[in-house]
Amino acid sequence: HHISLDEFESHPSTSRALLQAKATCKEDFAAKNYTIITSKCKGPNYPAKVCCSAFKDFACPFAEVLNDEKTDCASTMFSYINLYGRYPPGIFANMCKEGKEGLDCTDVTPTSSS
Amino acid sequence: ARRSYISYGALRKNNVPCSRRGRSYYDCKKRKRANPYRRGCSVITHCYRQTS
Repeated sequence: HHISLDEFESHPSTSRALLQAKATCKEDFAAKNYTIITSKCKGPNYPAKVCCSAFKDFACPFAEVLNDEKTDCASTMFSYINLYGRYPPGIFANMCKEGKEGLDCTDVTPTSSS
Repeated sequence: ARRSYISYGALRKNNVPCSRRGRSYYDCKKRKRANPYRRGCSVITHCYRQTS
C-alpha cells in the first residue's frame, strides 16, 4: 500500500488555511541581523523618527520582496522584528507614514544586514 | 537609480487582524465576545474567578 503523491499536494479550491495562504518567502528572514532596528528603536517611547529610520535601514534592501503581496515575506519579517524587539503590535504600520507610494528608500544607504 | 519604496501594503502586515482582547479574530468589530469566560464558583479559588 502507498499513499499517492497527489494526496500531499494542496488543493487550492478545497484546502483550508488560516487566514490566507501565501508563497513562502525566498529571502531568509530568520537569519538576518535585526540589531539595526533593535539597537535604536527602543521603548518606552519608541520615537517615531528613530524607529522608522531604523526600520527603513533594515527593510529597504528587501523592498522588492517585501512588496510582493503573493509571498509571506512582509509578515515573516515583522514576526522576527517583533520577536527580537518585543515591539507593540502594529507599531511600524502606525508610526511610519510618508508619501502616497510608501516609505521612500531613496536615501537609505544599503547596508548588509544578513 | 530607480526610486524604491516599502509599500503600505507590506507595512500593513505589521498589523494583526484583531488586537482587541476577547474579540473574534475574524470579526474584530462584533460586540459579542468570542469565547466568554464563564465558570462557577469553586471553593479552591475562593470564588476569585466567578464572573457571572
